[in-house]
Amino acid sequence: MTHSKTTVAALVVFFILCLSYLAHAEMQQQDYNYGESWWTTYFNDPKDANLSFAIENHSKEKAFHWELSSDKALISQGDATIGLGEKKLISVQSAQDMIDKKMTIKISTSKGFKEIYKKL
Amino acid sequence: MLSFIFSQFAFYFSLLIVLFWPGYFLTRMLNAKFGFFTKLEEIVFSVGFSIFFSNVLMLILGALGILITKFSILIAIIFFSLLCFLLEKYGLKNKASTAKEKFSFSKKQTLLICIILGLSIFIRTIYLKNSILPSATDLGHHMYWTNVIASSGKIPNYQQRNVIVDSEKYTISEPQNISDFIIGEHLIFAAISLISGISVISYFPVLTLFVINIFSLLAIFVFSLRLFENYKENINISIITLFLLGPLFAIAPPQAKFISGGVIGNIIGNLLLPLALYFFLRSMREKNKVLLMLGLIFSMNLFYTHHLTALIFILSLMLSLFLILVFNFKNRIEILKNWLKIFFSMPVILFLIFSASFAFLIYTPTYITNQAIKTVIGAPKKIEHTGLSLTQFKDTLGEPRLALAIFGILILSSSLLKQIRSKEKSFSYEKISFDIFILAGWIVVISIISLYPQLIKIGIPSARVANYGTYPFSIAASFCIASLFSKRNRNSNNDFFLKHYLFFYTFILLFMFLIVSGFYDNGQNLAQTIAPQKINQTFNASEFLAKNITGNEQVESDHVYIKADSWTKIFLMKDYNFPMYRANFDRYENGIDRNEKCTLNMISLPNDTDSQKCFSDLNVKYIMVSKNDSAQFQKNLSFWQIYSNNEITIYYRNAQ
Repeated sequence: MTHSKTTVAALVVFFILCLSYLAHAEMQQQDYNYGESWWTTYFNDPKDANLSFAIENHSKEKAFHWELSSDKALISQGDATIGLGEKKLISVQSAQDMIDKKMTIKISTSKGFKEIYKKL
Repeated sequence: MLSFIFSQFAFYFSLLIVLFWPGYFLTRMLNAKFGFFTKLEEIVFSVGFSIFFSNVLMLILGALGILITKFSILIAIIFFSLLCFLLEKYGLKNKASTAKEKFSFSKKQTLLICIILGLSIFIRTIYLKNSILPSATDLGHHMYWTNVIASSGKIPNYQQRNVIVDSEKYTISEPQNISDFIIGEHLIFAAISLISGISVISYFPVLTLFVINIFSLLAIFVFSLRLFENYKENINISIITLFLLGPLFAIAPPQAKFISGGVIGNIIGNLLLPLALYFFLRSMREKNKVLLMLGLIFSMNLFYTHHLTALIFILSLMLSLFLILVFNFKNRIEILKNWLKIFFSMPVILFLIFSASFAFLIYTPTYITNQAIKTVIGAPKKIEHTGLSLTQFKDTLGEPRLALAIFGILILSSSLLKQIRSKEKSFSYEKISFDIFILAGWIVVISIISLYPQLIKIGIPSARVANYGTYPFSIAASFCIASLFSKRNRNSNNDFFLKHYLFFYTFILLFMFLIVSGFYDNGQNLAQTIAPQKINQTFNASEFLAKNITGNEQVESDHVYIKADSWTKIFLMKDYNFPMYRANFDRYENGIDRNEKCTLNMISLPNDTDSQKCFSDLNVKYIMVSKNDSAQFQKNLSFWQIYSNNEITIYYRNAQ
């Protein structure tokens, strides 16, 4: 009887350990930095003419280069160093001559690029 | 790390309170009075009863207008448990002070049961590790309603706003009733979330389903023990059943895949259905009115949790009763007299009055109020409701389980025929083979609805029903194995069904067949998971939307290519159908699911005149699409590309 109780107790402990292991795995995976493989960019204010944008980095990349162009003509550019799990807001001034043009922000890293744009 | 440890304690505490405590004190009280259950049964029924009473108590709170909060749930459950405890200690302890241990397991059997359960847990853990981050569509839908309860403290109205096609204008409807959800699928999760303080977008829903799934294995184990209690090999049959359902085919539906997939109704149903059958079996066999009342409690539990399981249960039970009467036709009057005697008894009548009052005064399941039953009655209309082929049925159940079950059914049938012949001389109610009739009813109903639903004019998903078959077919298969390898005569050392020179080879061959098929199936299913990074990007995009949406701006999302898209609505919490979404393409073709094309065309053909009208009429401002399906938006500069990650692009439509 004692032997059986020990076996059942061991099973219960094993089950709880498995549940806790899964909970811990989920906590790790829910961290946006898990896998360190993606980053995102978006306009800080998506609805109006403001061109300021953010880069949120959840990848191994640190060096980001951005270019603002108007209908393919480069207007301004810059570099940003953003660590893992960090977010950087980059202010871009919009001007009168940008109206009615497609304003594209292209952000590049060593492995690729992403674009966001507005037609002001 | 400290917060993780704290959240773990909170989680286990809430599980204990919601899924164990009320049922445990109730079974203790019942055992004190009647001595019905063994220790193992006490533990298993604690979970089944707890689901019922946690739901009932929360529904009563809702009906009384008391907010459902951490404290109101705790007070209600503690009050109920205390009442049971006091009744056990001072009120009802008169007939059976201790439960009888009807089944005694040897050391080896206990060890084997624990190893099988340990292996079942281990294999499921391996699979769930890669799918523990919430992403499944069904789970997302269910957790939306769970979050509605947790955040509002009220019982939800299951309603959604739909796109309405008018001759002149597309509009979004007023909230309309939906019948897809049943309150029992959400209340216990809301209670756990409220008590533990853990978000619904976390590990807790899947882990709760995991616990219920393991208890469903134990439920089938105790059911099988009682089913074959008149057979000398009943413990071995139950152990083999556990083996066929636990570690073998551990990932395929309705096991780990249903856990991570959040198929809540099926997972809970697979726990409650065997327990309901258990009580009906015992009440008939023992002619016990209290056991019948407990069976009715589990039936009500099923009807408040999952209509599909409840339907299968009620049809199985009806067929079982019918078979008993047909096969004992000469003695039907005596059988009916016995049944009517226990049915028209005080406990049963009182419970029926309680359940009817509960349905009228406290809460009526949505599928009854919405008359959704009409939609499943009649010839199947959808292609997935028209029945499986035999090959599909075999694949769903697992080849060895089906093959062995067929032999098991043949052995049981021959045993039944022998009994009928012997009974022709002298009938005795106690000698009726309830075990065979209950099993036969269960198997036949599932087989007919899965394979030939046209025969009984019921239109429900055939594959989903076939998944229910894994349980009764495993019991039949176990019976076959136990019959092949058990001694015919307990006192003889060498009187096996199989000749001794065949015994060893047959056993090895069968064992290898089972192991190879079961674990091959596990291996096939193991790799099919979504990378957490993809899910996180959907969550990130959803957070972006939640931050920027204002007023009555609408969002269109894409269910076809975006992973975990159903979870977006939990970040937004505006309506069950917010964001509206492009559904799987076949849903627009079958003429049943989707009667509008706006949600399809706003993504597939956004620049068409009609799609532009959809955008304008419905005020759709944001469109969330997969990166690989976004080129069509780049042709029109009224769509601003405002958000971009590796997987998802969000457009803002800057037009009136």
